[in-house]
Amino acid sequence: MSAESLAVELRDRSTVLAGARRTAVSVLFGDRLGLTVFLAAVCLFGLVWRTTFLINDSVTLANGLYSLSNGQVALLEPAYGGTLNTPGVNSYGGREFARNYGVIALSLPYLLGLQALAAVVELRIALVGIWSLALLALVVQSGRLTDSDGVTVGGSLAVLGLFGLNVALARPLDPSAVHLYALQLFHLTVAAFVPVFCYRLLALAETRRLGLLAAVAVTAGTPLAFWASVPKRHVVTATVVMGVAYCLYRSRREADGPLVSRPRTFRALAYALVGLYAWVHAPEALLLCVTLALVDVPTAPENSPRTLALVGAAFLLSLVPFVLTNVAITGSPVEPPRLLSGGYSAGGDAAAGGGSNGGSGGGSASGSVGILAPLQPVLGVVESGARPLLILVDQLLVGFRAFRAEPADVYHTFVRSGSAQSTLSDTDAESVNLSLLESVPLLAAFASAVPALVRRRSSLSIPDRRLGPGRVADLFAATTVLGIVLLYTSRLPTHAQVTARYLFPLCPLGVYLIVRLPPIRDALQKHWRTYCWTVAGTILVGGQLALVAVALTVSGIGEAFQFHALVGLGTALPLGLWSLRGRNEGTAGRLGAALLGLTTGVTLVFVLLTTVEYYALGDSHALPMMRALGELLTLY
Amino acid sequence: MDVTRGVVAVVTLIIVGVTLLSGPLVPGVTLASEPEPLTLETGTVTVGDARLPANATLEKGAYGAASYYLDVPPATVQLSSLDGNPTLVYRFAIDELGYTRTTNHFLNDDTAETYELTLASDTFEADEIDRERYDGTVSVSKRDGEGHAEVASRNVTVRVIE
Repeated sequence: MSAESLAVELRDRSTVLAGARRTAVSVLFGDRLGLTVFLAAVCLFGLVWRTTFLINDSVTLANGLYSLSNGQVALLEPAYGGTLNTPGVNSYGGREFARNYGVIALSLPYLLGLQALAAVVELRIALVGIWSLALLALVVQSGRLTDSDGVTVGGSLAVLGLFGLNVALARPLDPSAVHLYALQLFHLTVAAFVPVFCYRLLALAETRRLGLLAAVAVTAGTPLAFWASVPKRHVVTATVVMGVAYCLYRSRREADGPLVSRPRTFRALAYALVGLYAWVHAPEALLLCVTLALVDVPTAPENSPRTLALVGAAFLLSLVPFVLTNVAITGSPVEPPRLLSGGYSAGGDAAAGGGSNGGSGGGSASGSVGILAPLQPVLGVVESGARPLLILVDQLLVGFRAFRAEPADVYHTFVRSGSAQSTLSDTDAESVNLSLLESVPLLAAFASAVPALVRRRSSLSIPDRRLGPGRVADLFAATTVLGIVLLYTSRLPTHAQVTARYLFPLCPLGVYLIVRLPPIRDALQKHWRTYCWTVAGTILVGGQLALVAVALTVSGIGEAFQFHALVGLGTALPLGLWSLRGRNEGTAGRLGAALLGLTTGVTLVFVLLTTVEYYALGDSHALPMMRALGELLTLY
Repeated sequence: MDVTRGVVAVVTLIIVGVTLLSGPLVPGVTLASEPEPLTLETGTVTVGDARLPANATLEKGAYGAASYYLDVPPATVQLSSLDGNPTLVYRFAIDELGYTRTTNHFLNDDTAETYELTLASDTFEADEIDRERYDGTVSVSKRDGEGHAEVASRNVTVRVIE
């Protein structure tokens, strides 16, 4: 081969590579801004990552991953926690099983990667290196976006400085807990797609600027960073619902991106996401499936048999891992999937249930005889398929009744936790389980729906017969919010929920819906600088004030949490009042943007102090500089 | 533009290179090491003067938090001599409730002559408290190479504040 042809081939290859890279970025993140959002979220999550267990539910998953990486679905031995008797472990046929097998299986590549790294480098330095490279990538992307070499050069040197600081402070990381780290990294990556989907969806439905602001709001203004590195399903659910909303939106307009050329492919993708999520948590997946179908089918531009076949095939295909796992657990392909049929009967702590401790659904078609006998297997499938649906409806009705039957519990879950017995920690009776509004005061902006709807009613004479893509996504988001609220209200508050974590999917859905409300949208669009500066000011200045206040007035974790709770409610109240009024001209709009920024910043301050101080978990931070900060800070 | 690319490339190389240095590929380089384990309760300490508080409080949680928070003011000690790594123990007890709490303070060469001993806070559940006042005791003791010995002790009044 001549030098010339080699040069041509190399150039061709690099063009192909660059093209592949562009396609990958476009498919995963939408555009460069989406990639930047992803990297920023990953860096923030890395900052607050602590390499230990927050709740013992995660021990079950770590033991599950340990067993699966040794080729067994059943739990082998308690590699973590010293016992297999942890929340979510269930017995079947004399063997113990974990739950959320989807996240366990999908964490395997992370485990292999970490094990390979641990073989050649010190694991702590490797994590520091990966975090620094992610930060460097963020700097490079920010430099490109701002078209500034100064940002890139200055930022790169700062990254080098931080890398040096972390290496200087580094202590070894125990490589034997690598299954936990793999699970944490998997959840962290999935969580970083929550702001990405928020950005992509709102960039399409509104403007790129509003998309970016929503990404900021969902990353800083909700406890996403707190839960990102906790192996619990909540951030996965959040990503799935946002992904479904995004796919639903794309399915209602011309395909204009790479790879996918027909909108109905996105429809199929939406169902496939839900099917795949069944592998993680079947009961919630069922709820999402019902919600999706209820919103999608009546509003679809067409429901031709061909389209429905495609959607159905995608959904069935996505259920394959879930069904295979059930088969592996029950040991028989004839027996109906146990996880599905038993999903809701998890006694006591159904909210946390992986759903595998219900009664067996086998042999359920025994009542059908005679002429129906040949159809028995089919009827069995139908019956075992209908049962979870009936249970779901029952659960939603129970949730509906809870609003009247247990108003105090509803109040403690959504508005104020305080010293209510049901919100206290199980172990030390501390008030550490905040309500939804206390931990996410930004959601007070929901009050804007009232003036928005009133205005809409007076301006609309003929209802639109066919809903646009944005309205379909709105409808899905609102229905899902309602479904999740009804599914969990009767079971909350419960211990160890910290920020009403069962309701966490409401956070990204809420941020999306808030930004779609005209008063909020216009205030943010016009006064985005005010919003950004208020967020930054609240974190940098307000964060220090909070630090001083906690150091001076607080003498324990319960008081600290309730301090943040009151700060949250104190900022939620003016935001709620402003939203109710629905005025956003001139100063009123600026005030609204500032209040939105304030509530966003307040939550990040709470999350940062919680991860550095209140729940420092033995100063087990992945990054040495955060550990050092935790050791330095003693607030009570 | 090329300078910018160069800086990014060099930083990347340094990060990857240093990370590779940390592993068994390059023996003899240790980048992450555990801190030297301290040998505690060694050397000697002499406490000249110890000032202990006379009052402590059990105060209902602020900001609407449940439980009562124990607040025992710190004790101040003058160290007339110090070497090695001795330990001072600040102890608080309410015998009527069968309650004891101790906080250990590890001294070293950097410890100043006047030293403040704090007691880590703790909480009591509401149903554990049924009186307005409790009698408690505070004490300071030392643990060094010469053994364990009480330095000072005092009765304190614990007031319950609603």
